[in-house]
Amino acid sequence: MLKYMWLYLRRRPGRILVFIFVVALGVSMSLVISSIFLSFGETRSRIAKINESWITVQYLSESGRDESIDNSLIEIFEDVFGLSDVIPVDIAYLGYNLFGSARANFPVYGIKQTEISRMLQESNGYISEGTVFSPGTNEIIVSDSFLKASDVGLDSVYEEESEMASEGLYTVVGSLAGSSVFGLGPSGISRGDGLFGFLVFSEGGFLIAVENELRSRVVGEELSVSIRGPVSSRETLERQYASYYLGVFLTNLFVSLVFIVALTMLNSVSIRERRKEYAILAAIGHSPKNLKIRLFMESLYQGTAGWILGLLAGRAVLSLFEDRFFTPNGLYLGDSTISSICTLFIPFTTIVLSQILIGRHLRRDLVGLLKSSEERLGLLKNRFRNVGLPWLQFPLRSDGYKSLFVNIIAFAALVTVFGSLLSSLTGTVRESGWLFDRRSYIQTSELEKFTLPEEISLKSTSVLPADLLELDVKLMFGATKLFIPVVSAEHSRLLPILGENPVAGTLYVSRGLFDLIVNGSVRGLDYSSMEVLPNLESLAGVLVEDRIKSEGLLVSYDDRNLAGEIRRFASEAGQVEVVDRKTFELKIRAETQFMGLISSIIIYLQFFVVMIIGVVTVTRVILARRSEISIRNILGQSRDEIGLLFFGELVLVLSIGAATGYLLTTLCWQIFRSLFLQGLYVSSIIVPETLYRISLMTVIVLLVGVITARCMISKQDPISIIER
Amino acid sequence: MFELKEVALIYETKKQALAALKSTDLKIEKGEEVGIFGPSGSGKSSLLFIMSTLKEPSRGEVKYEGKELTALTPSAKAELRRKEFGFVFQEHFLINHLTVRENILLPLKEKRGARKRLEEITTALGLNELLKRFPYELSLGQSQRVAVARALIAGPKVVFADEPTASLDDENGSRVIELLKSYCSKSGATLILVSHSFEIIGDFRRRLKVENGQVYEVGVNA
Repeated sequence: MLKYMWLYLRRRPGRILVFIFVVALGVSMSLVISSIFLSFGETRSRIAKINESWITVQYLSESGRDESIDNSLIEIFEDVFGLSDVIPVDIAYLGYNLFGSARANFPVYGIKQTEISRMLQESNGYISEGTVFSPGTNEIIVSDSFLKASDVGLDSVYEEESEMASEGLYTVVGSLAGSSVFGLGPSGISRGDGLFGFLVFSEGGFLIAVENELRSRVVGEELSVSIRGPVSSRETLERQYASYYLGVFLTNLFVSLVFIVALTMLNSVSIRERRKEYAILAAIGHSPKNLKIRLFMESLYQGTAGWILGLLAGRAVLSLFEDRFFTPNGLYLGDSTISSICTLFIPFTTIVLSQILIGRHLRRDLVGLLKSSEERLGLLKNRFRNVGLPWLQFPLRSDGYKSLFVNIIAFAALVTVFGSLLSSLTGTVRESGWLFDRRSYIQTSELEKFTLPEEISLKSTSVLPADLLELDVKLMFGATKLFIPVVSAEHSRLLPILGENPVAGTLYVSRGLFDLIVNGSVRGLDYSSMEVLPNLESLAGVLVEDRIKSEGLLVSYDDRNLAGEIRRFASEAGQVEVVDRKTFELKIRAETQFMGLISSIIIYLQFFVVMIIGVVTVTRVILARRSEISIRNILGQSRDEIGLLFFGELVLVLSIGAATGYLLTTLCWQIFRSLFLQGLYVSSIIVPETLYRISLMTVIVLLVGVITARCMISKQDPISIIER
Repeated sequence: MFELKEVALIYETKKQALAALKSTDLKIEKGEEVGIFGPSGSGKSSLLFIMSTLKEPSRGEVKYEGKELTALTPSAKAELRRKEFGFVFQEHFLINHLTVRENILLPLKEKRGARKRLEEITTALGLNELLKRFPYELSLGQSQRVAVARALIAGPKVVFADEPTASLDDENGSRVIELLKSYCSKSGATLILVSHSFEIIGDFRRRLKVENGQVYEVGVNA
């Protein structure tokens, strides 16, 4: 058996290496993509991990610590558990983008200076940079991953509960290192309304018992406090990881499918070409079972080699990515054992499918098998006896271009789906910001003290008091925020887009927003009546009320440059938030980053596979048609003419495949959308970018194919057919 | 029509040089019926390939109607083969995914106006019923007749036939030879036919024997 394999390896090293290479590529891609999902899980688990070291008992208060709750809790700690060393803390949460739209919030504990060493000891952390904070300030020390991820210096931090970030709430004076992600600050960092509570320390096993008992006590005494400890932390982690593992599984499944299709086609070609070999082996006494075992062993060796290479390459890429991609985004690289095991799906399925493929051939009788080795004609040959166009004859009557055709359909479908989802997401965020293209909303807690400078007021077309509603719009993947200004009936006339007589209680919307609201995609909107205004475009809306809280100013202007001036002024004035054109530009970047990355990886991955399939197909087709090239040349067709024939065939196969993939996917998408996506906002699937991407990549595959064909045809000697 | 001066074909390997065709001088006139015979490996096919531009001689001049063939570009040679030459080989070399009709019309650049010519040839060769078939649906004899039709469809001035009967039975073999001779005598085309058997070319007007790369005139029939 080994001798036979060695002979096979020597005879067809190129094909075997291509097979191993494609397996390795699939495995490494799969590993890298799923690691992104796992890194979210790992990073969040570092945050949740803090609750394995201690129990956090916390309550919400609008006016500092609540003495009655504090006393009740202390009583429980001392009387029930005999714990007198609980640490009183106040808690703030800082959020940061893990990557793109995925976020994590971690706690910053306001704590007495004297308790810091104990907390660090319990969490196995240490202060890696900076000095200890001063009491009565907003100075904090945070995990170093946050500093890397937020791209903020040690002197400014965003409390990022929403996109409207408030800069400078806290000042970072140092960083923490360790296996957990959290922050420390002086007591009182959460002033006024905020979270307050205690940290409860105990021995590992006892901590779980304390957490469970605390829960029942808290319920018994009707205290509105929440408890976070090892038990709840494990539950949270399990829940989070279930979704990450689902992500890993789906990613692997998808990437695997792409590669399994490619590998099975390579296998199919190989088996087809080796039918004569199998027929001869069968003729000299090898049973079908024996031949199947041979192929199984070959596939097993190739698959295993590819898998190992892929894992090594994937891990090498990951370690490269860790420094350049994960760490700078504040991401920890998760344990890739699960994703490594998932990658077995590629070689395993390919081996199983190869057995099915050879089984189909071996079912034929010996003569049939021998004869079939000469046949290269497709299933539909009898239907196309009258095709006049030479470019169509081979593609229609043979199965030579089948693999390329199927792949280009799959490729066009993928580009359509992912490209369009991405465009849809980007489009939705962009559309939601239409109203703010020439308007800025400035939010401030003290409007009466806030006045715009004259140079801005003079350039503005209107300045009116307004509130801002933040609404969630459900998207196919996640959600995005929609901002609707609320203006009083009195001031609404200053907004010409609302027409002459705006009515209080009316929500004025664009047609797009109207459809969204009717479909139920927008939540939390309260209004008496709704009216569609032709002046409003995209996803714009304004709510007119009798009375408003007047939390900010809505400034309208014609000169778009004024947005920058307003933003600068608001920033200098301090403690104000601005929603304008830039807010949406940042939102587009942030919210579509992850989707963009995944889409790009999948699109380019499939593109790469199509390129390989394209070159393999063209090479195979030309090798199989060497005789034909010779005959044509002997009969007087020049190499240019023959090259043109192949060019025409490739153009037809690729363009028909790409068009079929695009049209089929668009059709399926429309059906899917009408059946399953009602109530979800999907801006459009027919986007110019998709057509551009498909066209560009089809042309590239075509060029690569044509160059391959031209090189091979040039080397062909007309007499070789006879001499062979 | 053909004039060969000191034409030789030598295959050089690292160890030795092998002369497939030794220095040959040969003239073939328009409309001649030339039979070339000799044992396998004697160089007769090489002679045919050199005259038909399919092979470059190692040295010497090959002139066709006064034009030096070795000086032509590959495209010019292809054009010449398309316009002036017709080929029949031992194997039919039909293209498997093309129908009989498409295979026959392959040498024609301009397919318009070919219908009449196609009808004449396919009628003469008895191929009318087979036009929509694929080559793998034909017998060997039928395939070779299709190859003959393909060689003659463009009305070549020279027909090159390399062992056209080798894979056929006697009856089919004789039929193919008759078809080629009949076309050439009617159209005034030159027929250059190679065979390992003297019997096949016995009644040709001019016969050449090739042995060890050397070409000999055997005689001319009246």
